[in-house]
Amino acid sequence: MEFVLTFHQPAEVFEVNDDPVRGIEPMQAWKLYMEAMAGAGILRGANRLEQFGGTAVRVRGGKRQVQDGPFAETKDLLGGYAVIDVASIDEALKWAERCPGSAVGVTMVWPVRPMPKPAQ
Amino acid sequence: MNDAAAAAEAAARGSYGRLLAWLAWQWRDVAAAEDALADAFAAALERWPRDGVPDAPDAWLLTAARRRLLMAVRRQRLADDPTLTVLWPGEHAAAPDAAPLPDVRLRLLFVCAHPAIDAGVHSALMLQTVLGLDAARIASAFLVKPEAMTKRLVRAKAKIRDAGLRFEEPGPDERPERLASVLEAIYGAYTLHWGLADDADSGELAGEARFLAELVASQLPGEPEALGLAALLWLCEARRPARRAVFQPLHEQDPRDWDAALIGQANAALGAAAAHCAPGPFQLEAAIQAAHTQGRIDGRVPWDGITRLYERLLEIAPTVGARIAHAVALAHAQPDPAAGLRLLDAVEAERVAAHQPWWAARAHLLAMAGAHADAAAAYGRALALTVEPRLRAWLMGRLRAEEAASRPAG
Repeated sequence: MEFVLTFHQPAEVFEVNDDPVRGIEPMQAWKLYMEAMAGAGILRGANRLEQFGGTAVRVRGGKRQVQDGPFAETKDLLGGYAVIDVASIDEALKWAERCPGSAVGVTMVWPVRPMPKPAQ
Repeated sequence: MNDAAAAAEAAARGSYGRLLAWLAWQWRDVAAAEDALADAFAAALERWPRDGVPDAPDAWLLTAARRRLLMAVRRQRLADDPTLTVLWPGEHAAAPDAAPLPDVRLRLLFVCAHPAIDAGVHSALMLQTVLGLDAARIASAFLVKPEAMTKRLVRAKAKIRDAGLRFEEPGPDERPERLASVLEAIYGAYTLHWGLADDADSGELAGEARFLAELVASQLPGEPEALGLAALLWLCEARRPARRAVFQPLHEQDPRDWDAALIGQANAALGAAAAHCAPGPFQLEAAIQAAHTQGRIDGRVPWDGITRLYERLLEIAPTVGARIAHAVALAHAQPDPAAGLRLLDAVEAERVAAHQPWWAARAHLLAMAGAHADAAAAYGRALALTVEPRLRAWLMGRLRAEEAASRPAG
C-alpha cells in the first residue's frame, strides 16, 4: 500500500535546519531517517519543498486567482514529502512517528488512492 | 475536586474492572456492559453531590448499571418477558448491600484473550475492558489510527457476544494454551510503554500492565508462568527509578537506585515458580533479568549462564528479540563478537530492516570487534528507528564515539 507522508514544521524549525551550525544535528537526523526508509526497502520517492515558495492557483466562475504562499491556514509550513510502500497503515504510522519532524512539527499520513494511468 | 467527584474517580479507578467484569459476565455482552457502566458513572457524578456519596459506591454503581442494561433490553422489545420484570430493580430500592463483589476479572481476561478473537487485539481489549482506558488513549499507545482501533475493539466485542464465548475459566485440557495467551497479551501491554517518550504516560501504562500481571498471579498462584510474568515485570519495574534524565544501559546503572524490595519479591516468585519444574518463556525471561540484576550487584555479569538461559528460551520461543539478545550474550560469554554477529546475520533481513534493537546490537558487537566505521553506520540506523529522546541522545553519543574511533589517528 502506498502512502504519502507530508512533513509540516513551524518556520523556526526551517531556520534552524538551514543554519550551517545549528542545522548539523537535525539534518543528520533527517539523512539517517531517509537512509533507514531506503534501507528498509519502502521508499518510493522523497523531496524537500520550498516551504515559502508555494503558489496557489484558483479558478472561480471562470475568474483566475493567483496567490503566493505561505498560506495562513496553519503556522506549520509544508517542507517536504516522502512516498512509501508498506504493508499497512500501522506501518506507515510507525514511519511517521520516527520522522525527525514529528518531534517539532507534524507528519501527516495520506493513503494513496491509485488513479488510472493517463493515456499517452 | 469535590467529594462526590473524588469518590466517583476512586470508584472508577479501583472498581471499574471489577464492576465491568461482573456485568459482562452476567450479560455475556462486553459492549452493553461498558455503555451501562459509563451511564452509571455519569449518573453518580450528577447525584452524589446532591444526595451524598452512598455507603457502598460500588453497589450503587452496579445497581444503576444493571438498571440501564435492563432498560436497554426492554427497549429491544423484550419488555413482556416476566422474568425481566422480576429482575427489574425498583427506582427506590433499598440501599444495595455492600457485600464484596466476587472477582470475575480473571474470566474477563480469559475472554479477552480467547482464541476466537484476533491475537492482535487481545492486549487492547484488556486495557479497555478491565482497566477502562479509552479507545483514543489505547490507539496512541499502540500507534494505530484511532478509528481503526475503535473498529477492532467493537468487532472483538461483537464477536464475544455473537459467538457466545464462555465467561468461565478454561478447563484443564485447554488451560495452558489459554493462560499463555492471557500472559502474552499482558506482556504485550507492558512492552508498549518502552517506546513512549513521555515519562508520566509511560509509567502509567507500565503500571496498568503490572496490575494485570499481579491480578493473574494472585488468582492463579499455582501457575508457574503467571508467577514468571509477575517476576519479570517486577524486575523491569525495580530498575525504573534508574531511568533518569539521560539513558543509562544496564551495565552503567547504579544498583543503589534500584528497588531492592521489588527485586526480592521477584526472586521469591521465581523460586516458587521453579518448584513446579515447568519452565516457560516468562520464567526464563525473568531468570535472565534476575541474572543481569545480580551481576550488576556482584560486579560480574554471568554471561555463560545468561547464554544458556537464552538457549533454553530459544528452544520454546524463538522470537526475534530472544535471538538478538542471545547473540549479544554469546559474544560476551566467549568473548567473541564475530560469533555474535554471525547469529545476528542469521536473522531474516526483512524482519530486522526496521528493528531498532537489532541495529543497536549489531553496532555494539561491531564496536566490540573494532569495526568502528561499520559500528557508526549501524548506530545511525538504530538512531533513525528510535523515538525515545533519551535513548536517541545515548545512541547519538555512541555514534559520535565510533565515528571518532574510525578516523585515522593524528
